[in-house]
Amino acid sequence: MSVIGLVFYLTLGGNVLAQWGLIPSGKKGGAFSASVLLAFIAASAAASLTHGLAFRYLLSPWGLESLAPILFSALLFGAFAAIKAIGTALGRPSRPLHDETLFQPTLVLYAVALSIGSRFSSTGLLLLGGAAAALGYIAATGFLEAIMERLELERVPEPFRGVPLRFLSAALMALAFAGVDAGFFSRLSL
Amino acid sequence: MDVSEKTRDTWILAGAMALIVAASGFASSYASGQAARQLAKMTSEALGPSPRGEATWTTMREGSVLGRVDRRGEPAAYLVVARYADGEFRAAASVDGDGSILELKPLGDSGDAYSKRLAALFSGAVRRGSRADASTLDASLKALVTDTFEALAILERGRTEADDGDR
Amino acid sequence: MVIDNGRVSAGPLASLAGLAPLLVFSNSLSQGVALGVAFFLAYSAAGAMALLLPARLGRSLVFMFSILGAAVVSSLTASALRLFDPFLFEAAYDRVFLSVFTLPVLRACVIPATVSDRERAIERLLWGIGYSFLIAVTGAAREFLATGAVSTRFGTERGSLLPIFAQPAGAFMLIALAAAAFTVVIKAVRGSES
Repeated sequence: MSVIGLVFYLTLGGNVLAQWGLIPSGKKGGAFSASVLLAFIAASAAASLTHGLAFRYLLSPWGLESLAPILFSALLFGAFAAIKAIGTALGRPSRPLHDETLFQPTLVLYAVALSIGSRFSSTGLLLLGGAAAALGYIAATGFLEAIMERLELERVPEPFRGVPLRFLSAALMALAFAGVDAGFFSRLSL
Repeated sequence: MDVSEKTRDTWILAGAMALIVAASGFASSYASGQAARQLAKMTSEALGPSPRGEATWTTMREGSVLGRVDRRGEPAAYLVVARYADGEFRAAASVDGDGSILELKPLGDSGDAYSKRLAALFSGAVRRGSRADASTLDASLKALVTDTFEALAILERGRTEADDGDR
Repeated sequence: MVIDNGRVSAGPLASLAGLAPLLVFSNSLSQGVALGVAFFLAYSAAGAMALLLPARLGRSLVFMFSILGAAVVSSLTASALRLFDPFLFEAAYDRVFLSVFTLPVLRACVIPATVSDRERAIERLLWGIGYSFLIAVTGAAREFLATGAVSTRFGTERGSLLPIFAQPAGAFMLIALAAAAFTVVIKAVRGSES
């Protein structure tokens, strides 16, 4: 599959929001700036690369695959310590790791690292796949929020308002993505 | 708050955690060894037992190829686990040094239409030229079969080239 | 539970979104049970460590050690699963690992802020059991809806009832319907009380 095909696949058929059920909570914290989104994409690429390579070439040959969550925790703490040190040096306070707003991004980063790491083994594809999967997640989150915003104007039956409607919308998105996948991408070789 | 007490507690906890992680490593390695034995036995038995009885397992996880069983004096055997929406198709494949599939034996049947169709497609692909019946499921499954055969060929060619290089 | 403007807004329903990665993957009884057990063990380890570690370590360190504790337990669960059924391990290991970073487990890693929060440990444990049960039941329900049968053995003859329920979209629909039904029941109970 070409690079462009790979990006499209991870944005649609292989989208982590639809395939892994990474539904954002819907708490509106304001739109994210371009720099935050770029940082998230870069973090996703880095997580996929480091976790993917470590899993394949460090853990698997020794039968230590079960240590993967410990490895990711260590990577996460290392990255967080580095960010904190840079923030302190620049005089910018960083958020603590136990800040609840960081939980969903952490979950998404790990899901992307696992998903891409099990699919690809080369450095380039791990980096590109990680970035494309993060891009797909950001796009899908945007779609979902736009659908939810639009549905606020509709007369939705009372029991379905809120969380149920969010899941129903996600279901329709997943169905559409799966349709694109079955109709187009599954006929291409990855 | 006593800072030295906090530091001491942190180091004690870190040491305890390192010991537990080491124990988890041993548990993982043991489970991996047992699983390898089980998978090697299952794959070898499906393709007929090796006369010399020795079979070593290598985990690969390349697409639908889960791993390889090396049997002395026999062509390499690969364990294929092809996943789809609500199940998986398992098969043992015997592969020649040039990457061509000599034999493919399904390991059980998950009992659904996809599994049955995958078994037919894989068997049809091994017996080249014999055009079996067609199904509406084929369009979505053919890529999986093609990918798996390509992966098997690449892996086996890579292995034989590496073996030749070692000699 | 809070009913705000006629909507059930807090607690359990919001937690459904956090559990969704496990619910989406749980499309058979065997996977549901494996993930339910893995989640419960990780959740309990995280909650126990956050509760038992000395508060003088500080929130950040307690949080980090609690995550590590949950990761170690998840690692041991995955090893046990591999011993029990290597194929199930290969199919489910990534979700077993992911359970450590699901929102309920990460929330359990945060040190309880007040004494009354610490005293609600049993309540949190019961929620953990409830979530695990939900994951296992979702697996069984989806397998039944998709194939018309529930089985723990590979190779059992299965039919095809509503195959969409085996896919992520089916999981989302099932969760949405269950959440809507839950809202109706809670409102009815509240209505009968007042």
